[in-house]
Amino acid sequence: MCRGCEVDSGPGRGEIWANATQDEKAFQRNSQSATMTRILGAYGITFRELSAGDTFLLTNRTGGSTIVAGIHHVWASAAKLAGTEINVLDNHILLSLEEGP
Amino acid sequence: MTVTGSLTRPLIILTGDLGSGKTSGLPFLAEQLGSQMPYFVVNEVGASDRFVGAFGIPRSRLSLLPGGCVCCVKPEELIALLNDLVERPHSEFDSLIVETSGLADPATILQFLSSQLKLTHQLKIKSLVYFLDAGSDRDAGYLESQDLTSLAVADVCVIAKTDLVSQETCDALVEAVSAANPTVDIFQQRREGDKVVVGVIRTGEMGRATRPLPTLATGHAGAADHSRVGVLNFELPFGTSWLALSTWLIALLHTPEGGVLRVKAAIPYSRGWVTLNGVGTIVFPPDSSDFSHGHERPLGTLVVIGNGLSQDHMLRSLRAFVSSDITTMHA
Repeated sequence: MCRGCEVDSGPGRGEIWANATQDEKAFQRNSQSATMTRILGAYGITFRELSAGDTFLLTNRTGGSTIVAGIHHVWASAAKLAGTEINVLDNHILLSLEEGP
Repeated sequence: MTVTGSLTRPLIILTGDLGSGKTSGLPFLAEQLGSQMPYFVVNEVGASDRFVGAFGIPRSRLSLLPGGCVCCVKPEELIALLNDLVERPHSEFDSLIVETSGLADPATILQFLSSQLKLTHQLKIKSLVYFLDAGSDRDAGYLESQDLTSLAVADVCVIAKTDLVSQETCDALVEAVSAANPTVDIFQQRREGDKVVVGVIRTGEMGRATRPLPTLATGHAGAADHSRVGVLNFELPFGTSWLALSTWLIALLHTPEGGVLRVKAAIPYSRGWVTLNGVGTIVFPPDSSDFSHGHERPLGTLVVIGNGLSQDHMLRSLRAFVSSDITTMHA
């Protein structure tokens, strides 16, 4: 496993992850999931974390999907599915999120 | 080759003016930065290796790159050398220290190193050290354009040759450096008799707000080639999810033409602090330190360093994707 992938892998979260309580792990996972949902959702992409723990299934609005191993590879794969680069600083996306549903 | 986390070694990059004392301070600074058995890569614009041996650096842990600056003339040679070195066993050295020529631009070096996938997997940039020559003829309290752009991406500043200037001059330089980048750790290097002594002057405060860059010394304003390099600071609420933040940071570092060179964060949580460190498109696994905050719930800090960054965009994005309670740090 590469260092990039490790950030999102169980062992790669390092000692802090190994020593974390179940509640802390749940909080971290839920927070990460919320962040990914908001970023990917802005581009019409949904994701599901597969049981492997560091692997994600990404799906776009037309049903196109891809499996990605490691959070570092999510954004490039999401860009291909979305047909545009994922830009967390995009002003239009920030405006739409700030204005709410 | 299989790459695992255990193979990662810290990389320390030294920059600073020609003759600012980088080579003479190498072994002492390595010790201060926690490296027990560093390997030294020394780049010289000139071609002499005579000086290096004189400062007690063992030949078995030394490679020279003479005859050109690594940031513009010899980047491929540096990359080839580093690729070779990371294949060597940990028993040979525990960290890499790259001393650049006095002409090198640290932002450029960071950029091309971060584009090397293998190296970013096997080396973790621990510190970018900038040597500031207190004995040069800069006006007291003023920094030059190269100082400012180098300090913007530095973690450590060594004010060298403080034995050659008055205490007032030294204090003024410390204040100027601290104003240019409040997060930087400031050391001094001075000669006491036959010895070179390196000691801490001030520890950088991740929690201090960035101030406007100090005024350039008269006559140097036109030389600010990297004047868009800036440092953004944000306050993170106690208990901010480090995993959510690292996920956002990875997305940020993948943002096309985002201009981000480095990110670092310190996040307090119930058992201590979590630190994140990223360069290029890589955010490294977090480090942690366990201790009790007692009844206090301190704020954490996120520092983003790069070219042409917008504080407003960055803050809005952090609030939208990580936590709506994140704020800009105020001076």
